[in-house]
Amino acid sequence: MLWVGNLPTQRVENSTYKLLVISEITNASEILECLQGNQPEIVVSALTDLNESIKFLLEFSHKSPSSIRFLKVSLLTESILKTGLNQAQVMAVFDEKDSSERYFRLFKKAIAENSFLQTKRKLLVESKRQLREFESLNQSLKSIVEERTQHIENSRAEEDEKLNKSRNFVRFIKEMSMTLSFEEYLLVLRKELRKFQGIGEPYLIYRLSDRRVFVLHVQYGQSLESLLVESFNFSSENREFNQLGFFGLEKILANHFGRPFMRTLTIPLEIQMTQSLQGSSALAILGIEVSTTEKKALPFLDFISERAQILNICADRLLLENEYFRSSYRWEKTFDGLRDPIAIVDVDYHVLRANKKFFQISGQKKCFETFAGKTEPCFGCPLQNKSSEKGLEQGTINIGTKVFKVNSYPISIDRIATEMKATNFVNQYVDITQSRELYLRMLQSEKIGALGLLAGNIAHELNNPLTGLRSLTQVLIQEVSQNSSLQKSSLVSDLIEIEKATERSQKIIYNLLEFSTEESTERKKISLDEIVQRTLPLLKTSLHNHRYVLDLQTASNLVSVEPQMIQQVVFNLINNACQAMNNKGSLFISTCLSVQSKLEVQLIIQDSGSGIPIEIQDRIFEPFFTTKKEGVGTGLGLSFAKKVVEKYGGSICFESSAKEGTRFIVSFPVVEKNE
Amino acid sequence: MNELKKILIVDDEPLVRRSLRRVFHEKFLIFEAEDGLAGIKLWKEEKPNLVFLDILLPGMTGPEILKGIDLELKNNCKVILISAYTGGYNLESAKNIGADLFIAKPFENIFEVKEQAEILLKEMV
Repeated sequence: MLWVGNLPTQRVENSTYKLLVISEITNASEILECLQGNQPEIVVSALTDLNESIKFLLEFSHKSPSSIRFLKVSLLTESILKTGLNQAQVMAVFDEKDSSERYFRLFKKAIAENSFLQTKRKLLVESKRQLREFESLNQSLKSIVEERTQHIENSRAEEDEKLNKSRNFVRFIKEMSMTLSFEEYLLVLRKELRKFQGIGEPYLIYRLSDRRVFVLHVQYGQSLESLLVESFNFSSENREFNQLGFFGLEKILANHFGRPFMRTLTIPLEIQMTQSLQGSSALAILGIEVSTTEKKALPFLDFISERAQILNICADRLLLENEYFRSSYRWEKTFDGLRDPIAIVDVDYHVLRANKKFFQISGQKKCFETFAGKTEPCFGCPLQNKSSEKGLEQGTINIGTKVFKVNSYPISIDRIATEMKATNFVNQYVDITQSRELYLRMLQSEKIGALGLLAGNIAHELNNPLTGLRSLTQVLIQEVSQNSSLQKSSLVSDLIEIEKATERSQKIIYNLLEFSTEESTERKKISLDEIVQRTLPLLKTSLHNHRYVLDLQTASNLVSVEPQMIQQVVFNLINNACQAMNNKGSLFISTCLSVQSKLEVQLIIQDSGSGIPIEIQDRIFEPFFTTKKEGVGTGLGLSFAKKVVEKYGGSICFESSAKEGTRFIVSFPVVEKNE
Repeated sequence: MNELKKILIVDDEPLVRRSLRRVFHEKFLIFEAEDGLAGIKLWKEEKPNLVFLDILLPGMTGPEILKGIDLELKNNCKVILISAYTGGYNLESAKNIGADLFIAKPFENIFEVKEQAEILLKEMV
């Protein structure tokens, strides 16, 4: 404790504190110097001059702010108190009146407060220090965090970039794989190339199986393909153009396009699949103009190398697809252009594929529905022989008036249960209607020929005795008629009858010979009447059981036909009529001029049979259509009749009902009238 | 010389031979042969003036027989080919092989045949 000035009369010393008294020195700094810098807890200024006291205290407060200040005056007034408090920030002001207790009390308080202040100050310092420490720690943590964050950001940016690159790459792959043509291929590539400065358009140079080399590029949204005129050396002995690099491709392109080209990068395309298909002469390269320096072009080169494999694969694929489409197109055209209908059918008759000729009705229907218009498999279809053999199956089917030979080739064999069964077949439908007809007709005519030969032989054999018979009878007739004794008897007339009988026999044989001769004859002018009459004798057996009525009225109206042929027709018709009737049927055979036109003659053959059933009426003129058992009827009679009749400008039709039987009407144009 | 002329009939059908014989036998000498060999034999032996020759005979055919006969014999002899078999034969081809006439069987009228034969014979002196 420092007391500056005169001590008061009261006792101010105490054992609790050390009292230092300075009576005259008022210089705070000096005092402090003396105190060796130790700031007293308390300082009392008891100088006689109040202003000086205040001044001193002020000064002291600056130098030793932690000391508690007191002012002692002789007489305390309110203004002195105010001054002391305000100007010097004293704790209290003493005057003479104050007792020692007050001094002690206040000093004690001051000391306490001082120590309190000291503690506070210490704490403050400590806090400040701690705060500084925290702050620096904080700062270092912050910087660490920042660093880390930065690091993470950097990595993220890197990752993003990598991701972007990958995305781009994937997108490139996707776009490339979806290209359907080289134009698209180049467009996609171009898009990528645009990202680089100084990189030009891509040019595709390729060769397939022949010697021609093509250049393809895209300009203004259109693709332009041109033939490289000068011979282009892809070859690998000459190391050009089979490596990635700059090999002077620009010269060739410049020659071709007639404009200067910058340094052009050659990118060879490995088109293995195409090569294995087309031969090793199939080659392709890409050319890309590069106008920057080689150093600047490095990232671009990297870019291209990365994508080299995609470019290869896609080019290969496109070339193959092209070739595939071309062959496929050729194959389809061939398939469609085939003369015969061809279809690929499975075991259940589903039509899987067929050529143009096959389809009359489109739609996913079964073979017999589409092709034959039936509701169940055709009779004779080779598919019905569901055999497990791998060979060709054949069958013959009838559709309408046509006959088809079906060749069925199994094309895929599956294991079903333990057998190897064919599940898909290629069916070839060969229209053999004509050839079949021709064949059968030939057979028929051969048969007839053979028969004819036989008949011919028999006829000749018969002719001999008949000649003798007739001649001898003629002689006998003469002899007997010259013999008067025999004249009256019936001998002559009997002999005459015998002679007539032999004549008839000869006629029959003659007709038979003529009917079955296979020599083709010329058309003759002849009347239908005559034809009918020539034919009737041959039908004696068939007509035997029935009654028949003849009404022939066109003897003088001639038609121009081959008599044999029409004889056969008449024979067939009458035969059919007889077969249609049970015993004792009636047959009506007549010829007349047609009612509608006097220029036509009609032959009408009417039977009293049970008629032709309505359901088959449409089909009776079909070749090979017969209701008789196999081997009995050929089904050719009526179809032959129709053909023959129509050949001579005639027509054939019929009316039929169960009640009235059947009536066939054959008409021919009249060519001559004999008066 | 009113010697009876000779007619040779070569045919394998008995009734044909019989009827021809009946028609000619009053004025001619008739010889009959059933087959080619017999025919040739009789032809050489009897030297007929007229021969009826069937084409289809057992063994040799008519044309073959004609070939087997010497020209000398044929000089004084008329040959009438008769046959039911008309295949390829007519008057022209008959003449080509050395026959004088071709008559197709069956005979419509035996008496017409007789007339034609007599005309032929008259041509000979």
